[in-house]
Amino acid sequence: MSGIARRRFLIGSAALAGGATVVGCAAPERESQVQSFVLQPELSLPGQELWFATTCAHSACGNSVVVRTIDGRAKKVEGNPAFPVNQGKLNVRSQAGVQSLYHPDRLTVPKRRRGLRGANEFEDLEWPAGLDLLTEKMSEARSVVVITGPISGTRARIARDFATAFGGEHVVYETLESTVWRKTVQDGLGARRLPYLDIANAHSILSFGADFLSTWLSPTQYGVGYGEFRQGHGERGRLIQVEPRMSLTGANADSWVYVHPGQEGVLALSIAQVIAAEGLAPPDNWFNVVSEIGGLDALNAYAPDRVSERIGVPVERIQEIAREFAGHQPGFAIAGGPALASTNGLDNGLAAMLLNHMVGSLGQPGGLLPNPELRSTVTPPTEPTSFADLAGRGNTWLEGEPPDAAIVFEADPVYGMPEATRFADALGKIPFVVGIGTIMSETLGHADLVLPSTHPFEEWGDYVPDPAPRQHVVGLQQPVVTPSISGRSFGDILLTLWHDLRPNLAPPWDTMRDAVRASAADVFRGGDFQERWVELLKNGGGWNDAGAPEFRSSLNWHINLLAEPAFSDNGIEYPLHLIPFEGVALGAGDETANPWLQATPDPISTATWTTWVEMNPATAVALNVSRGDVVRIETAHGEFEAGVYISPAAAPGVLGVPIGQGHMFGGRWREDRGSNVLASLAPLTVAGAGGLAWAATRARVRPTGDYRQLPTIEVLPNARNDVEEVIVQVTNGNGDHHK
Amino acid sequence: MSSSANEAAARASAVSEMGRTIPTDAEVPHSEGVRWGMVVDLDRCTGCQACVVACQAENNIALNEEQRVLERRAKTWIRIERYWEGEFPNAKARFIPVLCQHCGNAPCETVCPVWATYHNREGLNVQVYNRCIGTRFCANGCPYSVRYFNFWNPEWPEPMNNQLNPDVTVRTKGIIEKCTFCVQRINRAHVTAGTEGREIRPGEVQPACAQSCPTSALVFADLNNSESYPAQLAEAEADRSYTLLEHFGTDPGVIYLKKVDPHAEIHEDEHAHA
Repeated sequence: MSGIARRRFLIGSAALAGGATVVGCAAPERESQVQSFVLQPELSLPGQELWFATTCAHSACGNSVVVRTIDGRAKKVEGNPAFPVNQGKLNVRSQAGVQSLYHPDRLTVPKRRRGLRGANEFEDLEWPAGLDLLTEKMSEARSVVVITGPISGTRARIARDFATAFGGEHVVYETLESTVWRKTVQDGLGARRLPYLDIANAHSILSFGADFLSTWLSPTQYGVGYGEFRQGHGERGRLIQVEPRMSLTGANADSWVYVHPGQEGVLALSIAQVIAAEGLAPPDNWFNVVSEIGGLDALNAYAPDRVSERIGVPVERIQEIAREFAGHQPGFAIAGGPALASTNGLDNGLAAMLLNHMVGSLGQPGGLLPNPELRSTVTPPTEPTSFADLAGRGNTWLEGEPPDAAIVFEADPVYGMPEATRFADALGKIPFVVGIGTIMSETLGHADLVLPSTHPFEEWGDYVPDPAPRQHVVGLQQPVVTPSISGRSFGDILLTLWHDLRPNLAPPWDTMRDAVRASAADVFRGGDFQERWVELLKNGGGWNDAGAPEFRSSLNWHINLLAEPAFSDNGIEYPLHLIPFEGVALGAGDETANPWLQATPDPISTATWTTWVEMNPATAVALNVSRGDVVRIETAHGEFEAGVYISPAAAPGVLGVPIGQGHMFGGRWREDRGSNVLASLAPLTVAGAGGLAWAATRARVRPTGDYRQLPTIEVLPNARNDVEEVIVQVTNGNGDHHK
Repeated sequence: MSSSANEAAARASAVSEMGRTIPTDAEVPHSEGVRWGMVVDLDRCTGCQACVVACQAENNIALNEEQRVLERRAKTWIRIERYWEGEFPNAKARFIPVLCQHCGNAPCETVCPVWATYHNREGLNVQVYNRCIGTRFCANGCPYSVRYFNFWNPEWPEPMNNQLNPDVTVRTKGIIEKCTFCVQRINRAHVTAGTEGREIRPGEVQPACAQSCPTSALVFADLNNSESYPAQLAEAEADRSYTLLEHFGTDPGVIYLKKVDPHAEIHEDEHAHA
């Protein structure tokens, strides 16, 4: 009931009690669509709670959840205690699943574009009309590209095979892609699957920019291990975090070490040199590995006194890190975040991987452990298409060779690709673009036809976590509530089209449920499958132990390959380093429609709802700006505005800016809020891996003269000046007390 | 405080002295029964905010829209406070989850003129919403700033209201709300245990925050049960344990274990030299 409607109801109740009763009992139309009071769902009794296990299949977190439902409505999401990835625990984003399910701005009906692409002018259609339009256009298409977010399991198989059947390809878009880490693992360990981080049993972790406690890969899984790492065994684990901008993981580190952007690999080699020179690890561990990639002479060129000034880390500090890391084994080194998002990111990652070979903890408890290969019947998690690959496709489309149609699902490249790539223009060259999703996004705003998809809690699916927890794991997704809109799942839409237009190439299943069930029957064989199927659904999936191939004992790399990082500018016109980062709640921007997540304070700044720039106090003084001042951040490829947050942890000359805001589409809590830092990035790539070098852009700052109070949870001594005026306004002048 | 507010407080205090009908901490020594409490291990806590959103989802907490945050009227029954120590390159962030401490000697309880807030027999600092008349004396009296006043009626645009937890009252404008240790879960466990003719088992009740916490930094249990994990943890880690604002003598039911900093002495030395 809206605020106005509620007031009317109260007035009515005072004047005419009988009339008010009628109004009060009338269920809103939308309410009865959610779940009929007359026709209750199977098993449901009024007021009785039911719990269903399912999977957050649309996000890359890999968590399995149990959803509490009452009267056909989802009420609360908890971690699935049985599931080996998150072990009953949950992160912020998984908790917020019910809010995206019942989001008031959710897409409810198909929409057809009326105005220009991106102008947000659509007309509503009935589902049959929407499907007719889709079928008509797709029947004319000879090549179709399917663009999705990182999906896995049956959904990924259908997307891939559908694209092939329709003469196209499946492109996987991940905003801050894991491409470079995957390539690092392949070249550094010879592994095809991402390794398991045995955090719980580690005595030391050396992380080059990997924000594994916040957003990197599988943070809930890592969080569970971290608790044990700190207080779960006799020797308290030590965490060393090296990065140019303090992340949440950095804020929790025992030693946080600033390094100039792109110089993480040099620091890693310098640490390696200290380990070798001081004999901190047995030579048997490292002599052969080091010899194969250049030998001690090559390594000695990175002695601390030779590189200290270049990388911004004091000699003693480098030595301390080497002693602390090597002296507290088992442990491991990882790389992520800005370390891998420099133009030399792959080299930085491989230099970090060298440390794992040297300390000898690969494959040992407390180190990096190999994950089992997937069985042939399980579709592996689809690896993200690299930025270079996607940008290259965009150029091809711009040059006049676009596919005939594109289907976009849970991916927002128009938002995430730097404007310099002109990806929106490239998408505009495709004659027919279909967007499928739960809520509008920048990419769906450029579609010709938008189809509302069911929410993950309303549909069938399965999910293969990556990285896996050293087991074969398939998470199952089942509808926990009846869909509150007339949506269809992405998989069901593809299957319908497939059977209608390419029946001879279509798979044997008509629905996603059938497909998921068939896949589960294939993977979990033996006995009465119906019984097993029920058990699998009850547990949220299936998992079992399996052997894993050993890591390779050498690196596919050479020390001499380590290049200097390149930046978008020589540093004269744009003197500052721009380091974008994912927030623990908003991630890369796909969750910004959710008010719980918008209001979740960033752990470092405690800021909410906006875009800010973390700035060192000295940098702020030099620019003559202070907290709350609105500044324009300019790069050679764009500009945007942000409020200044002065952070004692920010390095001089480094600007930390959160990703996620600056949307034109996506409902009341997302639109016209903050700025999109990704749009202004230089389109530089990581050599050898093709990822976007999102930490390689330089910037300059210009004050705008405006001031906006930062919506932070922290209170500063002078904060009262900010709020006094608002306190006066609690009672406005219209007699409408407190709103 | 203005003189009129002082008078009001004095009157309220007198009324509560004269008309007390509800068991209080003094009358029901929690040392003899269950005392629900929590141990917060700051060495495990990463400040990831999972507890914050879990609490909001469980307890029908109003949406904290931007304007509410700007006004400092955002409601977060549990919040992560972040403190800075030092400056770049030695800056350190410290995270502390702060929730109602469910004090044994709660300053909020003695000032409520209508007994909307009182101490129950299991050590909970309880807020009875339909008694509250919104004096906000309790919020003023709370040294932990964990009591939140409803300046507005909460709104959940349809169909977002479908997510509301039917076990938890939606609070209206004009009253105070706060962490209840998810009392609805405790009550449910009592009912279940009672039906089965047994006591509540250790670990059977978890508030939403502790349940979600990835690192198990928050652990909830009966602190008076010496066999409970939190009680044993607090004893085993006595050298790390403390309570917030201990000198106020509020006897909190939330025990903190301080973060271990292996480099603390080094940095203290550095500061000393500086």
